Amino acid sequence: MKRTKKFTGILVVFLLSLFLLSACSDDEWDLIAEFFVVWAEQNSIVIDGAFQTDQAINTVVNDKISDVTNSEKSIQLDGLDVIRDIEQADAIADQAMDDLDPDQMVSALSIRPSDWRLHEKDGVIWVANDNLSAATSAFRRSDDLLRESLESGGDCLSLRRNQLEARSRELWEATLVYESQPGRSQGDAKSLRQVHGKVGRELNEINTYKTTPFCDS
Amino acid sequence: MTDLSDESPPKKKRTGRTCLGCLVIILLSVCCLISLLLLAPSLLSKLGIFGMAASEVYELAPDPYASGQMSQAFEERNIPGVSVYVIPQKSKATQGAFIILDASKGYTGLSPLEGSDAVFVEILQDLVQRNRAENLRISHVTVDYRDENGDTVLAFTAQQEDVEAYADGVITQDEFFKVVHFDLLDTMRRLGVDEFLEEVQP
Repeated sequence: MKRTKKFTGILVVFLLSLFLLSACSDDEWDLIAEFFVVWAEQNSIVIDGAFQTDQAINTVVNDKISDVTNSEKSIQLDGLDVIRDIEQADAIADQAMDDLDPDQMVSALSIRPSDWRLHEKDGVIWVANDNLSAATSAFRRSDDLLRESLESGGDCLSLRRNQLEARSRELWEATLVYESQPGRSQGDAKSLRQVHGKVGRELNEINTYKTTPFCDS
Repeated sequence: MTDLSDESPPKKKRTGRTCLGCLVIILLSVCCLISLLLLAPSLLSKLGIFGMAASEVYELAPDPYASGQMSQAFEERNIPGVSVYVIPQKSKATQGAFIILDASKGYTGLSPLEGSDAVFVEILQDLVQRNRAENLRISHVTVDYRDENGDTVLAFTAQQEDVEAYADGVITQDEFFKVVHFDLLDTMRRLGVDEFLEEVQP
């Protein structure tokens, strides 16, 4: 009885804490809170308003075992930490693009070394720095990683188009940044404009003929 | 004559070296045990007995096409502050969908003007439809609710087959909630209900 009362109190505190998160509407948090409470009821952690300590401990122990053994559900929830990594690496890469600074890209790539989107930006920054050998190497790595992701399925033409569109967009953005720097004028970013044109030709080939050497090989 | 005196032979004195030896053996055993506990999960993971870590499973870049398709379900309903990442799963022919509902980026709810979950169900149906029509190969949907500081408040994951069953009306809302997965302890910790946490912890 005492335990039931205690749990009711806890539940009230829990629901209040949700309502106090005012960024979302009360209705939204209400829905979220209800979702969690119904989940607890459906999994017998709460029965008729009474907190089931044994069941809760069982659930917690199972969760911890899942964490250690990397069960599928545990990996899916841990995937949210990967999303945080992606956001962090993307933010650093965006700053590197603004500064056209290859050194900043090193730390972005250290967080997500197998993310082809980051190698794209790395390649563009190297083009802006007139190091075409490093740029070629970065674009080649990006291509390899895209091929790797195609191993699990997906449409090659669509993904290659997405990749080249990203490359083209970033090359153009870098061109604008480069040519807006003090002492430079329109047309100065010769390497960037040259590579941008080359990417445009492959994109055109995909859009017109629905083919590309990347997908044929 | 036999010596029948009850004098027992002098006891062997325990030397400092023996004690040190025991201590070294105990310390070594403890070190071995700790190493085993620390290394076992990664070793078993490498052997394929345990699953891979999430950082390895989702190491490749998000699929821009699939992510865009899923994002459209929210954009078309003018729901701000939502990001969707669809990431290929290593060594599998499927992808994981991560939906981030972030109040720090303007998320105010799926249906701020309505006090029902109708929009929630409608979005699930839309996501299911897009997955089928575009063959996005989604295997799970993981949702992260973030507060105005960008911190996770609530996170859960559901298998795509369960999402489809609920969206198609094959299972009820309660049945769907039952099969959704929360990490109980993490959820309580994030919500800051310390008292509840103490109650749950063994």
